[in-house]
Amino acid sequence: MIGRIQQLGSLGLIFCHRLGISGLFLLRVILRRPKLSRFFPFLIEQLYTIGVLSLLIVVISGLFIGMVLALQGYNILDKFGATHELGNLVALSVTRELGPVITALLFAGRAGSALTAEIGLMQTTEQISSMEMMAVDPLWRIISPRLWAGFISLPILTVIFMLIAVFGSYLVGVDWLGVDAGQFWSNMQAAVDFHIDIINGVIKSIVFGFVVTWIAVYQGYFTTPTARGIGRATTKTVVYASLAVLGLDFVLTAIMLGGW
Amino acid sequence: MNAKQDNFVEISHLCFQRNERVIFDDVNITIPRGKITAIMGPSGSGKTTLLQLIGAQLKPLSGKVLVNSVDIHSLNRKALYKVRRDIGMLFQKGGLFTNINVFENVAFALREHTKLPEDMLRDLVLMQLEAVGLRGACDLMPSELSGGMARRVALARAMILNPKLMMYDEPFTGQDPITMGVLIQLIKRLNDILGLTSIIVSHDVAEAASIADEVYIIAHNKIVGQGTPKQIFADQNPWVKQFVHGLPDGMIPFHYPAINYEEDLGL
Repeated sequence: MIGRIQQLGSLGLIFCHRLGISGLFLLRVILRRPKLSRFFPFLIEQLYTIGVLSLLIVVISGLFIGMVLALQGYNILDKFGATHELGNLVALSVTRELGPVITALLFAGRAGSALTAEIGLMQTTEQISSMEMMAVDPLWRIISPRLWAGFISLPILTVIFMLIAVFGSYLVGVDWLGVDAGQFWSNMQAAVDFHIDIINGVIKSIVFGFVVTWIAVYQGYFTTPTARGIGRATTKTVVYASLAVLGLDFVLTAIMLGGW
Repeated sequence: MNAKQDNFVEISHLCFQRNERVIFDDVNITIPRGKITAIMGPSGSGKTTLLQLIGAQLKPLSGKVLVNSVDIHSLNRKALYKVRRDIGMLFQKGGLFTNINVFENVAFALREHTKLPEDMLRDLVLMQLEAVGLRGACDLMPSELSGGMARRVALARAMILNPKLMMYDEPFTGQDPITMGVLIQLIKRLNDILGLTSIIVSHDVAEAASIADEVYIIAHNKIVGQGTPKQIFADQNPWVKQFVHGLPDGMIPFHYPAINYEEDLGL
Protein backbone atom coordinates (compact mmCIF):
# COMPACT_ATOMS: atom_id res chain seq x y z
CA MET A 1 0.00 0.00 0.00
CA ILE A 2 2.74 2.41 1.04
CA GLY A 3 4.65 1.43 -2.09
CA ARG A 4 1.68 2.33 -4.30
CA ILE A 5 1.24 5.68 -2.58
CA GLN A 6 4.95 6.31 -3.11
CA GLN A 7 4.59 5.38 -6.77
CA LEU A 8 1.64 7.74 -7.14
CA GLY A 9 3.59 10.52 -5.44
CA SER A 10 6.55 9.89 -7.67
CA LEU A 11 4.34 10.05 -10.80
CA GLY A 12 2.87 13.31 -9.50
CA LEU A 13 6.34 14.77 -9.01
CA ILE A 14 7.41 13.71 -12.51
CA PHE A 15 4.24 15.26 -13.95
CA CYS A 16 4.83 18.56 -12.09
CA HIS A 17 8.50 18.56 -13.14
CA ARG A 18 7.60 18.08 -16.82
CA LEU A 19 4.83 20.63 -16.64
CA GLY A 20 7.35 23.10 -15.19
CA ILE A 21 9.88 22.39 -17.95
CA SER A 22 7.25 22.73 -20.68
CA GLY A 23 5.99 25.98 -19.10
CA LEU A 24 9.48 27.46 -19.00
CA PHE A 25 10.06 26.26 -22.56
CA LEU A 26 6.88 28.02 -23.70
CA LEU A 27 7.84 31.18 -21.84
CA ARG A 28 11.28 31.20 -23.45
CA VAL A 29 9.74 30.82 -26.90
CA ILE A 30 7.11 33.51 -26.37
CA LEU A 31 9.55 35.97 -24.80
CA ARG A 32 11.83 35.90 -27.85
CA ARG A 33 11.20 39.18 -29.58
CA PRO A 34 12.17 38.72 -33.20
CA LYS A 35 12.46 41.43 -35.79
CA LEU A 36 9.18 41.09 -37.68
CA SER A 37 10.78 41.57 -41.10
CA ARG A 38 13.07 38.57 -40.50
CA PHE A 39 10.46 36.48 -38.72
CA PHE A 40 7.69 36.96 -41.28
CA PRO A 41 9.10 34.69 -44.06
CA PHE A 42 9.58 31.82 -41.57
CA LEU A 43 6.04 32.32 -40.30
CA ILE A 44 4.59 32.29 -43.82
CA GLU A 45 6.50 29.09 -44.61
CA GLN A 46 5.09 27.41 -41.50
CA LEU A 47 1.58 28.74 -42.11
CA TYR A 48 1.74 26.95 -45.44
CA THR A 49 3.14 23.71 -43.97
CA ILE A 50 0.92 23.62 -40.92
CA GLY A 51 -2.19 25.40 -42.10
CA VAL A 52 -2.57 25.15 -45.85
CA LEU A 53 -1.47 21.51 -46.04
CA SER A 54 -4.05 20.62 -43.34
CA LEU A 55 -6.80 22.21 -45.40
CA LEU A 56 -7.68 19.13 -47.45
CA ILE A 57 -8.34 16.85 -44.48
CA VAL A 58 -10.31 19.60 -42.71
CA VAL A 59 -12.47 20.35 -45.78
CA ILE A 60 -13.23 16.69 -46.52
CA SER A 61 -13.97 15.90 -42.87
CA GLY A 62 -16.15 19.00 -42.54
CA LEU A 63 -18.13 18.06 -45.63
CA PHE A 64 -18.82 14.51 -44.51
CA ILE A 65 -19.55 15.44 -40.89
CA GLY A 66 -22.05 18.06 -42.07
CA MET A 67 -23.66 15.53 -44.41
CA VAL A 68 -23.91 12.80 -41.75
CA LEU A 69 -25.25 15.26 -39.19
CA ALA A 70 -27.98 16.35 -41.62
CA LEU A 71 -28.90 12.76 -42.43
CA GLN A 72 -29.12 11.68 -38.79
CA GLY A 73 -30.79 14.90 -37.71
CA TYR A 74 -33.40 14.70 -40.47
CA ASN A 75 -34.44 11.15 -39.50
CA ILE A 76 -34.99 12.15 -35.85
CA LEU A 77 -36.63 15.53 -36.58
CA ASP A 78 -38.90 13.87 -39.12
CA LYS A 79 -40.53 11.82 -36.31
CA PHE A 80 -41.62 15.08 -34.67
CA GLY A 81 -42.47 16.85 -37.90
CA ALA A 82 -39.70 19.37 -37.27
CA THR A 83 -37.43 18.88 -40.27
CA HIS A 84 -37.46 22.67 -40.85
CA GLU A 85 -35.28 22.91 -37.71
CA LEU A 86 -32.46 20.98 -39.44
CA GLY A 87 -30.50 24.16 -40.16
CA ASN A 88 -30.39 25.14 -36.46
CA LEU A 89 -29.43 21.66 -35.36
CA VAL A 90 -26.48 21.45 -37.69
CA ALA A 91 -25.30 25.02 -37.25
CA LEU A 92 -25.44 24.97 -33.45
CA SER A 93 -23.72 21.55 -33.22
CA VAL A 94 -20.99 22.59 -35.60
CA THR A 95 -20.27 26.09 -34.29
CA ARG A 96 -20.43 25.27 -30.59
CA GLU A 97 -18.77 21.86 -30.37
CA LEU A 98 -17.99 19.80 -33.45
CA GLY A 99 -16.17 22.51 -35.37
CA PRO A 100 -13.57 23.46 -32.76
CA VAL A 101 -13.15 19.96 -31.28
CA ILE A 102 -12.95 17.88 -34.46
CA THR A 103 -10.74 20.40 -36.25
CA ALA A 104 -8.40 20.41 -33.25
CA LEU A 105 -8.29 16.60 -33.17
CA LEU A 106 -7.61 16.47 -36.92
CA PHE A 107 -4.98 19.18 -36.50
CA ALA A 108 -3.28 17.24 -33.70
CA GLY A 109 -3.20 14.10 -35.86
CA ARG A 110 -2.07 15.77 -39.05
CA ALA A 111 0.01 18.84 -38.19
CA GLY A 112 0.88 18.11 -34.54
CA SER A 113 2.39 14.71 -35.23
CA ALA A 114 4.28 16.08 -38.25
CA LEU A 115 5.68 18.93 -36.14
CA THR A 116 6.91 16.57 -33.44
CA ALA A 117 8.46 14.17 -35.93
CA GLU A 118 10.16 16.99 -37.83
CA ILE A 119 11.64 18.69 -34.76
CA GLY A 120 12.51 15.31 -33.22
CA LEU A 121 14.39 14.30 -36.35
CA MET A 122 16.21 17.62 -36.36
CA GLN A 123 17.23 16.91 -32.77
CA THR A 124 18.32 13.35 -33.60
CA THR A 125 20.39 14.34 -36.63
CA GLU A 126 22.13 17.15 -34.71
CA GLN A 127 20.54 19.88 -36.86
CA ILE A 128 19.41 21.79 -33.78
CA SER A 129 22.82 21.43 -32.10
CA SER A 130 24.58 22.63 -35.23
CA MET A 131 22.24 25.63 -35.38
CA GLU A 132 23.12 26.45 -31.76
CA MET A 133 26.82 26.19 -32.55
CA MET A 134 26.32 28.57 -35.51
CA ALA A 135 25.03 31.07 -32.94
CA VAL A 136 21.46 30.82 -34.23
CA ASP A 137 18.84 30.39 -31.54
CA PRO A 138 16.71 27.32 -32.43
CA LEU A 139 13.87 28.52 -30.21
CA TRP A 140 13.59 31.60 -32.37
CA ARG A 141 14.40 30.01 -35.73
CA ILE A 142 12.65 26.64 -35.41
CA ILE A 143 10.14 26.63 -32.57
CA SER A 144 8.70 30.14 -32.54
CA PRO A 145 7.45 30.24 -36.18
CA ARG A 146 5.85 26.83 -35.75
CA LEU A 147 4.14 27.77 -32.50
CA TRP A 148 2.70 30.99 -33.91
CA ALA A 149 1.72 29.30 -37.17
CA GLY A 150 -0.27 26.66 -35.26
CA PHE A 151 -1.84 29.34 -33.10
CA ILE A 152 -2.96 31.29 -36.19
CA SER A 153 -3.89 28.32 -38.39
CA LEU A 154 -6.29 26.40 -36.20
CA PRO A 155 -8.93 29.14 -35.72
CA ILE A 156 -8.95 29.75 -39.49
CA LEU A 157 -9.22 26.01 -40.20
CA THR A 158 -12.05 25.79 -37.66
CA VAL A 159 -14.06 28.53 -39.38
CA ILE A 160 -13.51 26.78 -42.72
CA PHE A 161 -14.63 23.49 -41.17
CA MET A 162 -17.82 25.14 -39.85
CA LEU A 163 -18.66 26.66 -43.24
CA ILE A 164 -18.04 23.42 -45.14
CA ALA A 165 -20.04 21.36 -42.62
CA VAL A 166 -23.01 23.70 -42.99
CA PHE A 167 -22.65 23.43 -46.77
CA GLY A 168 -22.54 19.61 -46.50
CA SER A 169 -25.71 19.59 -44.41
CA TYR A 170 -27.37 21.87 -46.98
CA LEU A 171 -26.50 19.42 -49.77
CA VAL A 172 -28.06 16.50 -47.89
CA GLY A 173 -30.92 18.31 -46.16
CA VAL A 174 -32.12 20.61 -48.93
CA ASP A 175 -30.89 19.11 -52.21
CA TRP A 176 -31.38 15.45 -51.32
CA LEU A 177 -33.99 15.16 -48.56
CA GLY A 178 -36.12 18.09 -49.72
CA VAL A 179 -36.08 20.44 -46.72
CA ASP A 180 -37.18 23.90 -47.80
CA ALA A 181 -34.13 26.06 -48.47
CA GLY A 182 -35.76 29.21 -47.09
CA GLN A 183 -36.68 27.51 -43.83
CA PHE A 184 -33.25 25.90 -43.60
CA TRP A 185 -31.38 29.22 -43.82
CA SER A 186 -33.87 31.47 -41.98
CA ASN A 187 -34.19 29.13 -38.98
CA MET A 188 -30.42 28.82 -38.86
CA GLN A 189 -30.01 32.59 -38.97
CA ALA A 190 -32.59 33.05 -36.22
CA ALA A 191 -31.06 30.43 -33.92
CA VAL A 192 -27.35 31.10 -34.25
CA ASP A 193 -26.02 33.98 -32.19
CA PHE A 194 -22.82 35.49 -33.50
CA HIS A 195 -21.28 36.10 -30.09
CA ILE A 196 -22.53 33.11 -28.10
CA ASP A 197 -22.08 30.51 -30.79
CA ILE A 198 -19.56 31.61 -33.39
CA ILE A 199 -17.20 33.76 -31.33
CA ASN A 200 -17.16 31.24 -28.48
CA GLY A 201 -16.37 28.48 -30.98
CA VAL A 202 -13.49 30.53 -32.36
CA ILE A 203 -12.22 31.27 -28.82
CA LYS A 204 -12.18 27.54 -28.16
CA SER A 205 -10.20 26.95 -31.35
CA ILE A 206 -7.66 29.62 -30.38
CA VAL A 207 -7.08 27.87 -27.05
CA PHE A 208 -6.89 24.46 -28.75
CA GLY A 209 -4.48 25.76 -31.39
CA PHE A 210 -2.16 27.08 -28.73
CA VAL A 211 -2.24 23.94 -26.59
CA VAL A 212 -1.92 21.43 -29.45
CA THR A 213 1.03 23.27 -31.01
CA TRP A 214 2.70 23.75 -27.62
CA ILE A 215 2.48 20.02 -26.91
CA ALA A 216 3.74 19.17 -30.41
CA VAL A 217 6.81 21.43 -30.36
CA TYR A 218 7.66 20.52 -26.76
CA GLN A 219 7.52 16.78 -27.48
CA GLY A 220 9.67 17.25 -30.58
CA TYR A 221 12.27 19.44 -28.89
CA PHE A 222 12.70 17.17 -25.88
CA THR A 223 12.51 13.88 -27.73
CA THR A 224 14.95 11.06 -26.94
CA PRO A 225 17.24 11.22 -29.99
CA THR A 226 16.55 7.74 -31.33
CA ALA A 227 14.10 6.29 -33.87
CA ARG A 228 12.06 4.83 -31.02
CA GLY A 229 12.19 8.14 -29.17
CA ILE A 230 10.70 9.99 -32.17
CA GLY A 231 7.97 7.37 -32.51
CA ARG A 232 7.07 7.68 -28.85
CA ALA A 233 7.13 11.47 -28.94
CA THR A 234 4.82 11.51 -31.97
CA THR A 235 2.37 9.16 -30.27
CA LYS A 236 2.50 11.25 -27.09
CA THR A 237 1.70 14.39 -29.08
CA VAL A 238 -1.45 12.89 -30.58
CA VAL A 239 -2.60 11.31 -27.29
CA TYR A 240 -1.84 14.27 -25.00
CA ALA A 241 -3.16 16.84 -27.48
CA SER A 242 -6.40 14.91 -28.03
CA LEU A 243 -6.98 14.49 -24.30
CA ALA A 244 -6.12 18.13 -23.65
CA VAL A 245 -8.58 19.25 -26.35
CA LEU A 246 -11.43 17.13 -24.96
CA GLY A 247 -10.71 18.14 -21.36
CA LEU A 248 -10.37 21.82 -22.17
CA ASP A 249 -13.52 21.70 -24.27
CA PHE A 250 -15.50 20.70 -21.19
CA VAL A 251 -13.89 23.43 -19.08
CA LEU A 252 -14.40 26.13 -21.72
CA THR A 253 -17.99 25.07 -22.38
CA ALA A 254 -18.74 25.20 -18.66
CA ILE A 255 -17.23 28.69 -18.44
CA MET A 256 -19.04 29.92 -21.56
CA LEU A 257 -22.41 28.58 -20.47
CA GLY A 258 -21.91 30.28 -17.12
CA GLY A 259 -21.65 27.06 -15.17
CA TRP A 260 -18.56 28.37 -13.36
CA MET B 1 53.08 36.89 -24.71
CA ASN B 2 52.27 34.99 -21.56
CA ALA B 3 51.45 31.30 -21.34
CA LYS B 4 47.71 31.95 -20.99
CA GLN B 5 47.50 33.73 -24.32
CA ASP B 6 49.19 30.80 -26.06
CA ASN B 7 46.26 28.56 -25.29
CA PHE B 8 42.97 29.02 -27.09
CA VAL B 9 41.07 26.73 -24.75
CA GLU B 10 41.90 26.05 -21.11
CA ILE B 11 39.93 23.51 -19.16
CA SER B 12 40.67 23.35 -15.46
CA HIS B 13 39.35 20.99 -12.76
CA LEU B 14 36.38 20.04 -14.92
CA CYS B 15 33.81 17.74 -13.35
CA PHE B 16 30.71 16.60 -15.17
CA GLN B 17 28.16 13.88 -14.69
CA ARG B 18 24.98 12.69 -16.40
CA ASN B 19 22.41 11.66 -13.83
CA GLU B 20 24.49 9.54 -11.45
CA ARG B 21 27.18 8.59 -13.98
CA VAL B 22 30.46 10.49 -13.65
CA ILE B 23 31.84 11.49 -17.06
CA PHE B 24 34.73 13.77 -16.04
CA ASP B 25 36.42 13.98 -12.70
CA ASP B 26 38.91 16.84 -12.27
CA VAL B 27 40.01 17.03 -15.89
CA ASN B 28 42.59 19.60 -17.04
CA ILE B 29 43.25 20.21 -20.73
CA THR B 30 44.92 23.01 -22.65
CA ILE B 31 44.44 23.49 -26.37
CA PRO B 32 47.36 25.47 -27.82
CA ARG B 33 46.54 28.25 -30.25
CA GLY B 34 47.23 27.49 -33.90
CA LYS B 35 47.78 23.76 -33.33
CA ILE B 36 45.79 20.60 -33.97
CA THR B 37 44.94 18.79 -30.77
CA ALA B 38 43.49 15.31 -30.87
CA ILE B 39 41.29 14.09 -28.03
CA MET B 40 41.16 10.33 -28.19
CA GLY B 41 39.61 7.63 -26.10
CA PRO B 42 37.40 4.58 -26.24
CA SER B 43 33.70 4.84 -27.14
CA GLY B 44 31.64 6.27 -24.33
CA SER B 45 34.58 7.98 -22.64
CA GLY B 46 32.98 11.43 -23.04
CA LYS B 47 34.85 12.87 -26.02
CA THR B 48 31.75 14.38 -27.64
CA THR B 49 30.60 15.59 -24.21
CA LEU B 50 33.89 17.43 -23.90
CA LEU B 51 33.23 19.32 -27.15
CA GLN B 52 29.73 20.16 -25.94
CA LEU B 53 31.24 21.53 -22.73
CA ILE B 54 33.72 23.65 -24.70
CA GLY B 55 30.87 24.97 -26.89
CA ALA B 56 28.72 25.57 -23.75
CA GLN B 57 25.98 23.29 -24.97
CA LEU B 58 26.38 21.57 -21.61
CA LYS B 59 27.22 23.09 -18.23
CA PRO B 60 29.89 21.50 -16.01
CA LEU B 61 29.21 20.46 -12.46
CA SER B 62 32.34 22.34 -11.43
CA GLY B 63 35.52 23.65 -13.01
CA LYS B 64 36.20 26.24 -15.67
CA VAL B 65 36.34 26.28 -19.45
CA LEU B 66 38.12 29.32 -20.85
CA VAL B 67 37.68 29.87 -24.59
CA ASN B 68 39.91 32.62 -25.90
CA SER B 69 40.38 33.71 -22.25
CA VAL B 70 36.62 33.96 -21.66
CA ASP B 71 34.82 31.76 -19.13
CA ILE B 72 32.26 30.48 -21.61
CA HIS B 73 29.82 29.18 -19.00
CA SER B 74 29.50 32.53 -17.25
CA LEU B 75 28.19 34.29 -20.36
CA ASN B 76 24.60 35.28 -21.04
CA ARG B 77 22.95 34.02 -24.23
CA LYS B 78 23.86 37.06 -26.33
CA ALA B 79 27.51 37.02 -25.29
CA LEU B 80 27.68 33.25 -25.70
CA TYR B 81 26.37 33.47 -29.26
CA LYS B 82 28.98 36.14 -29.98
CA VAL B 83 31.74 33.79 -28.81
CA ARG B 84 30.22 30.92 -30.79
CA ARG B 85 30.63 32.89 -34.00
CA ASP B 86 34.35 32.26 -33.56
CA ILE B 87 33.80 28.52 -33.14
CA GLY B 88 33.08 26.12 -35.97
CA MET B 89 31.98 22.58 -35.29
CA LEU B 90 31.79 19.55 -37.53
CA PHE B 91 29.23 17.20 -36.06
CA GLN B 92 29.47 13.43 -36.05
CA LYS B 93 26.25 13.12 -38.08
CA GLY B 94 27.00 16.22 -40.16
CA GLY B 95 23.96 18.08 -38.89
CA LEU B 96 23.08 19.34 -42.40
CA PHE B 97 19.60 20.82 -42.74
CA THR B 98 17.73 18.23 -44.75
CA ASN B 99 15.08 20.57 -46.17
CA ILE B 100 17.50 22.88 -48.01
CA ASN B 101 20.18 22.19 -50.63
CA VAL B 102 23.96 22.21 -50.23
CA PHE B 103 24.30 25.87 -51.26
CA GLU B 104 21.68 27.04 -48.76
CA ASN B 105 23.21 24.88 -46.02
CA VAL B 106 26.57 26.58 -46.46
CA ALA B 107 24.94 30.00 -46.85
CA PHE B 108 22.80 29.52 -43.71
CA ALA B 109 25.06 31.21 -41.15
CA LEU B 110 25.85 34.09 -43.53
CA ARG B 111 22.17 34.74 -44.12
CA GLU B 112 21.50 34.66 -40.39
CA HIS B 113 24.36 36.87 -39.26
CA THR B 114 25.13 39.21 -42.14
CA LYS B 115 23.34 41.40 -44.63
CA LEU B 116 25.63 40.65 -47.55
CA PRO B 117 24.31 41.28 -51.05
CA GLU B 118 23.21 38.09 -52.79
CA ASP B 119 26.03 38.04 -55.38
CA MET B 120 28.71 38.45 -52.72
CA LEU B 121 27.11 35.76 -50.59
CA ARG B 122 27.03 33.45 -53.60
CA ASP B 123 30.74 34.02 -54.28
CA LEU B 124 31.65 33.29 -50.65
CA VAL B 125 29.62 30.09 -50.58
CA LEU B 126 31.07 28.89 -53.87
CA MET B 127 34.61 29.65 -52.67
CA GLN B 128 33.96 27.63 -49.55
CA LEU B 129 32.51 24.74 -51.53
CA GLU B 130 35.46 24.91 -53.95
CA ALA B 131 37.83 24.55 -50.97
CA VAL B 132 36.20 21.23 -50.07
CA GLY B 133 35.91 20.17 -53.72
CA LEU B 134 32.11 20.27 -53.89
CA ARG B 135 31.32 23.42 -55.87
CA GLY B 136 29.65 21.23 -58.48
CA ALA B 137 27.33 19.73 -55.86
CA CYS B 138 25.83 23.03 -54.72
CA ASP B 139 22.36 22.24 -56.06
CA LEU B 140 22.16 18.77 -54.52
CA MET B 141 20.01 18.01 -51.50
CA PRO B 142 21.73 16.49 -48.42
CA SER B 143 19.90 13.19 -49.08
CA GLU B 144 21.72 12.93 -52.43
CA LEU B 145 25.20 13.15 -50.86
CA SER B 146 27.44 10.29 -49.79
CA GLY B 147 28.64 10.19 -46.18
CA GLY B 148 32.00 11.71 -47.09
CA MET B 149 30.45 14.45 -49.21
CA ALA B 150 28.06 15.33 -46.40
CA ARG B 151 31.00 15.73 -43.99
CA ARG B 152 32.76 17.99 -46.49
CA VAL B 153 29.66 20.14 -46.93
CA ALA B 154 29.32 20.32 -43.15
CA LEU B 155 32.96 21.36 -43.01
CA ALA B 156 32.38 24.11 -45.57
CA ARG B 157 29.36 25.29 -43.57
CA ALA B 158 31.33 25.30 -40.31
CA MET B 159 34.08 27.38 -41.93
CA ILE B 160 31.89 29.99 -43.60
CA LEU B 161 32.07 32.51 -40.72
CA ASN B 162 35.87 32.21 -40.58
CA PRO B 163 36.06 30.66 -37.10
CA LYS B 164 39.18 30.82 -34.99
CA LEU B 165 38.53 27.46 -33.38
CA MET B 166 37.36 24.36 -35.27
CA MET B 167 36.05 21.32 -33.42
CA TYR B 168 35.69 18.03 -35.27
CA ASP B 169 33.55 15.33 -33.72
CA GLU B 170 34.61 11.90 -35.03
CA PRO B 171 35.33 13.20 -38.54
CA PHE B 172 36.73 9.89 -39.83
CA THR B 173 34.13 7.47 -38.49
CA GLY B 174 32.53 5.29 -41.17
CA GLN B 175 34.50 6.79 -44.05
CA ASP B 176 36.20 4.84 -46.84
CA PRO B 177 40.01 5.20 -47.10
CA ILE B 178 39.84 7.74 -49.94
CA THR B 179 37.36 9.99 -48.13
CA MET B 180 39.36 9.60 -44.94
CA GLY B 181 42.51 10.71 -46.74
CA VAL B 182 40.66 13.70 -48.22
CA LEU B 183 39.32 14.73 -44.81
CA ILE B 184 42.74 14.40 -43.15
CA GLN B 185 44.31 16.58 -45.81
CA LEU B 186 41.49 19.12 -45.63
CA ILE B 187 41.67 19.47 -41.86
CA LYS B 188 45.44 19.85 -41.92
CA ARG B 189 45.46 22.27 -44.87
CA LEU B 190 42.67 24.46 -43.53
CA ASN B 191 44.30 24.61 -40.12
CA ASP B 192 47.67 25.63 -41.52
CA ILE B 193 46.49 28.04 -44.20
CA LEU B 194 43.88 29.83 -42.10
CA GLY B 195 45.88 29.73 -38.87
CA LEU B 196 43.08 28.00 -36.97
CA THR B 197 43.13 26.14 -33.71
CA SER B 198 41.65 22.67 -34.18
CA ILE B 199 40.33 20.04 -31.82
CA ILE B 200 39.75 16.59 -33.28
CA VAL B 201 37.78 14.13 -31.24
CA SER B 202 38.32 10.65 -32.58
CA HIS B 203 39.00 7.04 -31.81
CA ASP B 204 40.77 6.51 -35.11
CA VAL B 205 44.26 6.56 -33.60
CA ALA B 206 46.45 6.47 -36.70
CA GLU B 207 44.46 9.05 -38.67
CA ALA B 208 44.11 11.55 -35.84
CA ALA B 209 47.71 11.12 -34.71
CA SER B 210 48.97 11.67 -38.28
CA ILE B 211 47.95 15.34 -38.25
CA ALA B 212 47.85 16.16 -34.53
CA ASP B 213 50.47 18.28 -32.80
CA GLU B 214 49.25 17.27 -29.36
CA VAL B 215 47.25 14.25 -28.20
CA TYR B 216 45.15 13.67 -25.08
CA ILE B 217 43.83 10.24 -24.17
CA ILE B 218 40.67 10.15 -22.08
CA ALA B 219 39.62 7.02 -20.21
CA HIS B 220 37.90 6.26 -16.94
CA ASN B 221 36.75 9.90 -16.40
CA LYS B 222 40.30 11.27 -16.52
CA ILE B 223 43.14 12.23 -18.82
CA VAL B 224 45.33 9.14 -18.84
CA GLY B 225 47.87 10.26 -21.42
CA GLN B 226 49.13 13.45 -22.97
CA GLY B 227 51.92 14.40 -25.35
CA THR B 228 52.99 14.48 -28.95
CA PRO B 229 51.84 11.53 -31.09
CA LYS B 230 55.34 10.05 -30.79
CA GLN B 231 55.27 10.28 -26.99
CA ILE B 232 51.80 8.77 -26.87
CA PHE B 233 52.81 5.77 -28.99
CA ALA B 234 55.77 5.18 -26.66
CA ASP B 235 53.74 5.67 -23.47
CA GLN B 236 53.82 2.66 -21.15
CA ASN B 237 50.75 3.69 -19.15
CA PRO B 238 48.49 0.59 -19.35
CA TRP B 239 45.40 2.65 -20.31
CA VAL B 240 47.25 4.46 -23.09
CA LYS B 241 49.03 1.32 -24.28
CA GLN B 242 45.83 -0.68 -24.58
CA PHE B 243 44.00 2.08 -26.47
CA VAL B 244 46.82 3.13 -28.81
CA HIS B 245 47.81 -0.41 -29.76
CA GLY B 246 44.24 -1.73 -29.83
CA LEU B 247 44.78 -4.52 -27.30
CA PRO B 248 41.51 -6.44 -26.74
CA ASP B 249 41.96 -6.84 -22.98
CA GLY B 250 43.63 -4.74 -20.34
CA MET B 251 42.59 -1.81 -18.19
CA ILE B 252 39.41 -1.60 -20.24
CA PRO B 253 38.16 -5.19 -19.79
CA PHE B 254 36.89 -7.25 -22.70
CA HIS B 255 34.05 -8.56 -20.51
CA TYR B 256 31.26 -6.39 -19.25
CA PRO B 257 31.01 -6.85 -15.45
CA ALA B 258 28.94 -9.96 -14.68
CA ILE B 259 28.49 -12.64 -12.04
CA ASN B 260 30.76 -15.70 -12.07
CA TYR B 261 30.58 -17.50 -15.44
CA GLU B 262 30.21 -21.01 -13.98
CA GLU B 263 27.58 -19.79 -11.56
CA ASP B 264 25.69 -18.22 -14.43
CA LEU B 265 25.76 -21.49 -16.39
CA GLY B 266 24.58 -23.36 -13.28
CA LEU B 267 27.67 -25.59 -13.09
